[in-house]
Amino acid sequence: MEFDPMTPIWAQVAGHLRLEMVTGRLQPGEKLPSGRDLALQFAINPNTAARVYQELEAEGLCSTRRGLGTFVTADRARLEAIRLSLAREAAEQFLSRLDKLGLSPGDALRMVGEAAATEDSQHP
Amino acid sequence: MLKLIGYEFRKTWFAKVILLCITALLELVFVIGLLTSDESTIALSAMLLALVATGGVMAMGLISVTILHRDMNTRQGYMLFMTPNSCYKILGAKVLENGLTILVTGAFFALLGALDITLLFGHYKMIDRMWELLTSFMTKMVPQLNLQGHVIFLFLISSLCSWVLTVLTAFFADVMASSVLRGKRGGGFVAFLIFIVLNVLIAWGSRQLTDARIFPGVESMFIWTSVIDLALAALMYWVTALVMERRLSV
Amino acid sequence: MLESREITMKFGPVTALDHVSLKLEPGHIYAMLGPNGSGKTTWMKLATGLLKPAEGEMLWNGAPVGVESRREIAYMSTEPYFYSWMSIRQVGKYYQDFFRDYDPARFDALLARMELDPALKVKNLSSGMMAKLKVAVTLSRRARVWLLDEPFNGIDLIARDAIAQSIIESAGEDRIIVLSSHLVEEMEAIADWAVFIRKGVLVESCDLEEMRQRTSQSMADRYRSIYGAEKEVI
Repeated sequence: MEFDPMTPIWAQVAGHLRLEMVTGRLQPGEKLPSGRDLALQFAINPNTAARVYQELEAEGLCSTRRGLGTFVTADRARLEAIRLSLAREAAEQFLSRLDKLGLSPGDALRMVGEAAATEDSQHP
Repeated sequence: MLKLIGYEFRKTWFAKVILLCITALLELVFVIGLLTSDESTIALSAMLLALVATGGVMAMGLISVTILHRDMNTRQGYMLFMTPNSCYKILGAKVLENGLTILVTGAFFALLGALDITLLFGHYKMIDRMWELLTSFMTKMVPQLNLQGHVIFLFLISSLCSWVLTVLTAFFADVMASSVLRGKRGGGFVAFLIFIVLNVLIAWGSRQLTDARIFPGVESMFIWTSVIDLALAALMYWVTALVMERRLSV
Repeated sequence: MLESREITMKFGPVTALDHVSLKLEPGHIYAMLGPNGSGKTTWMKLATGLLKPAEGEMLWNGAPVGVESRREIAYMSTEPYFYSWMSIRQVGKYYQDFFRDYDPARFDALLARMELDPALKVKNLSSGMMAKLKVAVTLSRRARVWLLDEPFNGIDLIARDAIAQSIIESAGEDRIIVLSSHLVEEMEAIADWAVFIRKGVLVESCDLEEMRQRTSQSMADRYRSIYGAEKEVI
């Protein structure tokens, strides 16, 4: 994974894992790599890896069971809630970007419609 | 400690092998000369062997000084000085390895010399008689001179001890050059001066001590100078190791 | 804890380190940064005991560095230093002879990872292989402190990844790793603390993630702002 060195790395790795968890690529209840293995996998500092799990745990996305390891939460409702909130965030960011380009939310909506139609015709 | 000595030996091994090869070659020539009764060959090879013997023992000492210098002044020295060994141990290993080398080399050449002389006398009866004439003449001239076997042995021991002291004095001077005097103008030169001055002092001191006492025999004198030399060598080692431990930057 | 107190080192008229006080705590990987001649190598050599300071002291767990500290501190210099007559295997044997914390199995594993043949002689190694050997043998010591001076120098990309992996493997709550490198970007993710030294003086020491959060700068950006080069604005 390529990192942006100007923003905290723990946040970037956490973001990646969060995405994996809410989209189901990491199954609910699945065992996650140990802190050290996470560090090795992403070639990051072990303290950074520990911070990743700390943050995800604080969000309720995973939990550490002493002696057993860290596991993705089995709480599907939680995962779903976060998935939707990430989607909402993406939508807000989108609107904000188009706003900077001079488009109103109405224009933005129309543009989305056009893009969706094009998408459909290309992938029926 | 043994491991340190082992690695020191390994560092000097190449020079020892060369010396052995040269000696073996000359010895071969000597024996061939004897077998063919070629006097000029015998004489030449014998002379060269004598030269190689004295030179060889001295070279062993010099090589040890060179290696210490290299260890203190090049990156290869990191190998030695980053190990968890005090400079007392490091220098001690060098001194022991070198001291042993000098003694063994000296003994080796002494035995070889004795062997060659025996072969020579065996081959040329005339020389044997000439030697007897010469020694009796010299004993009449200089009554204290005693050319018996054990005296020669003690003389050799005392010479070797004296050489060991010289090597340790060189160690001290080199350590001074590489530590306390490093970076100072003319540091190397000062170290060399220290070496010369110390040697002169030691020579003068020995003379004083041997003149002041009346020795019942040459044997005791040799024993006495050997003891003094070794004691001074020990002192030199201790001071050198101290300077190394406190002030040496590799 | 590895600490220097007002440590000063002079080489003739040149002051390589000027009253540098620095404390390194276990559980971190430090990036020691600065241009050539800034004093990084000097600090590491002082920590190892290869250099003796003009003033100040270097302490390991409160005691001055010396024979005991060298048992627990592993140093890798930028320059090659093995005896040329040795084979790679013999280099390992040497470390085994003198360092109690040396792990031969780890050495074998690292040699395999870096594709080094143990039978090769040191004098026949290319500069890249020599660089890999230095890292391999140093990391094979289960030391408390590793001081690696330019561990990525002269090493190809794949091997650099292998070295980064080995470094992360070695890290621990009770271990200190110090890396100095010109390849600042390579160390962005591996290090968690940066120490900036300039002309023998400690300029700054910071927690990297915290710095990123606070200033939106990378370690490389911080390096540039400290050492003067202007970042190109595109």
